[in-house]
Amino acid sequence: MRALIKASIQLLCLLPIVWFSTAAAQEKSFSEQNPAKVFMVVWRGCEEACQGFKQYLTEQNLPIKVTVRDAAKDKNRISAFLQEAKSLKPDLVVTWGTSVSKEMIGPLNGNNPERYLGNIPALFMVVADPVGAGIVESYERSGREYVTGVRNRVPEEVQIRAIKDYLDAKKIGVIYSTAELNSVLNTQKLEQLAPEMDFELVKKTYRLDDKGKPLPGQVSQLMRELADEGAEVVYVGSSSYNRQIRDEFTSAANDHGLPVASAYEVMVTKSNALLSIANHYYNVGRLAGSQAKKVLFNQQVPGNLSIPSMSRYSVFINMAVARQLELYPPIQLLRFSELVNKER
Amino acid sequence: MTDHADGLTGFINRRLLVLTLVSTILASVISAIYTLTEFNIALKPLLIQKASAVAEVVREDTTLAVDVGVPFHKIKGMDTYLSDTVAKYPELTYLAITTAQGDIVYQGGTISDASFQSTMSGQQDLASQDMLQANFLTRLLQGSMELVQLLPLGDKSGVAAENIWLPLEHNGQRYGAVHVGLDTGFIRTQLTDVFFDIAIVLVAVLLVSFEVVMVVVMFYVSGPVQKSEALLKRQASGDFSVNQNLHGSGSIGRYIRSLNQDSQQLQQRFRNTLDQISEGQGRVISSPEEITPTDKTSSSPVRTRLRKLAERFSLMNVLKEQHGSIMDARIPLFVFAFAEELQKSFMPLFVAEFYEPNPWFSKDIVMGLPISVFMFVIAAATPFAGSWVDRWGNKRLFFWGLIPALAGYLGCAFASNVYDIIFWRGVTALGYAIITISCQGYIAAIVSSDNRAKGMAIFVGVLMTATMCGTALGGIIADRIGYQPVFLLSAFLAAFAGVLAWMMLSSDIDKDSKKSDKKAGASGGAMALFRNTQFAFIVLFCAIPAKIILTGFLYYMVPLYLVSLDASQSEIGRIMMVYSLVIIPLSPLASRFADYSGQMKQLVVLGTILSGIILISLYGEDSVARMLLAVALMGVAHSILKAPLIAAAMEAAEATPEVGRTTALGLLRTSERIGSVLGPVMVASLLVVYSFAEAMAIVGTGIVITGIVMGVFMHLSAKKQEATS
Repeated sequence: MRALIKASIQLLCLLPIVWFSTAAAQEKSFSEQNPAKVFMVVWRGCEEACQGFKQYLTEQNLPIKVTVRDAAKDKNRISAFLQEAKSLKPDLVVTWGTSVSKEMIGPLNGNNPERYLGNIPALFMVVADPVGAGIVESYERSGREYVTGVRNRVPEEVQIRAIKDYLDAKKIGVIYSTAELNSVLNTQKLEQLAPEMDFELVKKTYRLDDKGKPLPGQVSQLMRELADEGAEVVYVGSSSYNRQIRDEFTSAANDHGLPVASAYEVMVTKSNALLSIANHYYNVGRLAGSQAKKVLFNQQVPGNLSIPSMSRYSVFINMAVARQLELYPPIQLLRFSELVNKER
Repeated sequence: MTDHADGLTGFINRRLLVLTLVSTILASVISAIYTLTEFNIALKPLLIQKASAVAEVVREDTTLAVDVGVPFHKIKGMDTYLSDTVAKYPELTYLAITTAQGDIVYQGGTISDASFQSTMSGQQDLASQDMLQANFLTRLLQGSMELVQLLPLGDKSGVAAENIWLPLEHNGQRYGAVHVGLDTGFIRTQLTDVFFDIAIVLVAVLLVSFEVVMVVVMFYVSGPVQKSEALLKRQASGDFSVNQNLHGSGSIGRYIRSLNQDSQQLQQRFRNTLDQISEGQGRVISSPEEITPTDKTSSSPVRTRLRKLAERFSLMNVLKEQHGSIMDARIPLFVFAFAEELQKSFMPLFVAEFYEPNPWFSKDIVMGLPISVFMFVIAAATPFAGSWVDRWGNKRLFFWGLIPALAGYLGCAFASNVYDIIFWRGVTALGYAIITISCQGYIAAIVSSDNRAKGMAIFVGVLMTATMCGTALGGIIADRIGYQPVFLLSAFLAAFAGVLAWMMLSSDIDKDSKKSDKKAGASGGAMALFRNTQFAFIVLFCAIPAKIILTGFLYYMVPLYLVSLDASQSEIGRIMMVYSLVIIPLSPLASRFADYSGQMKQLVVLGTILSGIILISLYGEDSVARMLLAVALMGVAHSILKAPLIAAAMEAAEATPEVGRTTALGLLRTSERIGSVLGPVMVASLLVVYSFAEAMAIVGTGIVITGIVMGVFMHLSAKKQEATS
């Protein structure tokens, strides 16, 4: 009886809230005639992430109209898109990549917020390190009321776990440029992981010219040093330079019997690295789609949402390298991998 | 009724019963075997299919590895992969990858043979596939042959595995094979489970068909035959009474009617004759005495002769035969009780699912509460129900009872928390109390006092049969569809019981019982009865402890205890069923023995002490087998106790003649229900502190003591009686 009374009191208390929230929802509800307006700015055309985003919303059957603007890898075009967005006042702006996001959303605690989107809700995707780039405070909370986003970087723990599953490596080598902040931060993260994940980190840095650019032609030498010091694999976590010189980098490593594992799947798919754990951009786009749905249709304040990451990753293995180095993947990894260069 | 008449109906009864039972048994056994064989035949190809699917996945993965350039002998992690996969499927014993020659390269699980050379040369076994195309009889025969080997009775020759293999090929060249071992023991365990379920359904079906056949035969065959026989015999001995209430149908009914008509015609002619001599005086004469009017001193000799004639051949006699029979109440009561018992094997577990911590009661107590509340409501309602019988009559009361019963079942079916369940169980209890009392009153009104124990045994027997079938089937059903849908089923069955009651219960009996019980059902009867020490002792020291055991031990503790021993819901139902399974055959035997020996009270004391000892014996190791034994023995103890307890209480109550039958019975029931209320609460509060076994030992000791007290009291009062006489 007591429970019954308690339940009815609860119900009475809840009623106004339920009524209020439905009223609030009606205020901002979208329909076929009045769809939610999404303004999307991309860096290099509507590629996989952009398509994944659209596809997700189409499958959900939501009344949404997406307008896409392409910067075509030109930073100078972005400011025009920013002005367009500010005059259109869409329900949500989606930004693709670090450059676009920085230009459109602007930095955290910037002294000139009016220059950017201001109080127009914004959602970023395909930003490798949004915290490092100064767009958000942390992955738990953006720290900005109108900003949210999705992560696409696979955590280092997952990369190391895969390397250990595949190669059972105890010594992992890295080669990086001290001029690249993200590489330095990434190396620090690896050093921190080394004791808990039971591996030893062997570090090599590039000699730099006076502009801070690595001097060319030193990769092979550094690889030899790594091999001599007993490294069993070279890992590229975050280094634009290594990604750029990927063919030279991976060939030099393989020449010294060192497999390359990388966070950049392009080093596996378009070069000669052995292993990469990465997210398909298509799936990142879908994740961004679900985040957009929360903001537009579930009345969530963007700043209250966490920045989610994918729970499943894709494993890329370059079989040509595996055969060359005679480093064959364990069957459990092989089964779920996306194999490159399958044909012998 | 003479022996001869008993002989004819008995002859028909026996034949019919034996015939129906034999055919029911035969039909159920064949259908059970058929189900099992079908299950077996269908199960094996399915398992083979599944094993093949697993092998196919392994083959695909291996092929992928080899195709992308991993050397066949250098696939890393293959053993772990195979072991992990085998561990995932209980029906597989091993997974292996061999060379084309049959030498093992990778393996997971336990492999008995070292090499697969022989298996790969032979044809794969597809016998079971052929079986599916075979005709019914072959399937039945073959299936039952296989069954004997598979059932637990068959020999257990280690881990037998059936090998299934797929070739591994690259560019059309075979380089190896994937082997899967299918565990035949797995099929056996699956079959054993199904076997027990089917066996229980079979026993339940037998009991139900027995109930139905009994009633149908009584209604349509042996009852009418008995009636016609009696009528014939009456007419043969020169009794031409007319029966006013003849409702017989069918050929035997027509026969009886025409016999009755003969008597009627005869009586009509006699009346015509009477009219002739009374010369149109027009006086209505309804008995032979009135033929020779007492006011006229000079009666004519014709009238005297006519009167003698009328008296000799009962020519003016009109019979008003009673129609009620114990059988009437049997099926409605059975169906209703069956509906109620479906929840028995899982009630505490059902409550546990909804339990949320609260500051008032611990979980143990809350799990016992629905049982206690159920019993409490029955205890509170029974005394009123007794007087309601007197007021409304049995048949109408049955329908009144259905309303709360149905509401309660639906309430439980849609309950969302513990309080809902407790409340709706209480509502159901009200209906249950009303309906059982109405049926009990119905039976009590029909049987005569000398075979009261037997009449009550029928009532108890019906309840027990229903309990057995309901408990076991309820467990099986709940295992498959979940707890709450079972309550919906209960509601449906209860409604069906109502339909049956409407069709079968006779309302004639109400008038009679009303008349006979009106003066007896006076208030204050309870106090009078409790001043009757004999009655009070029987209630306090035997009836109440017996119910404490029933609800505290069987309904509350057994499900919880068995779940703690990892028993499935079906198993719990089966074990709880054993109690009733023992009581059903034993109880009538015990009651007949009690009637024969007349030692009602001694039997009651014996049963009480025995049940206490069984509880104490549970102290020690925990095992399902021990529990099963204890439940069975409890059935023995209670069947010794059950019918004699009612009979002894009634006997004792006769010393207080101002209290009526129904009221005395109601009082006994109420007192018993107090025990039923106490049972779960007592055991639950003991469980808060003690283990299952300790709690049982404590309750058992208490019960042994009450039994002894009762024995001593009886011994003393018997001595006193001797001294006074």
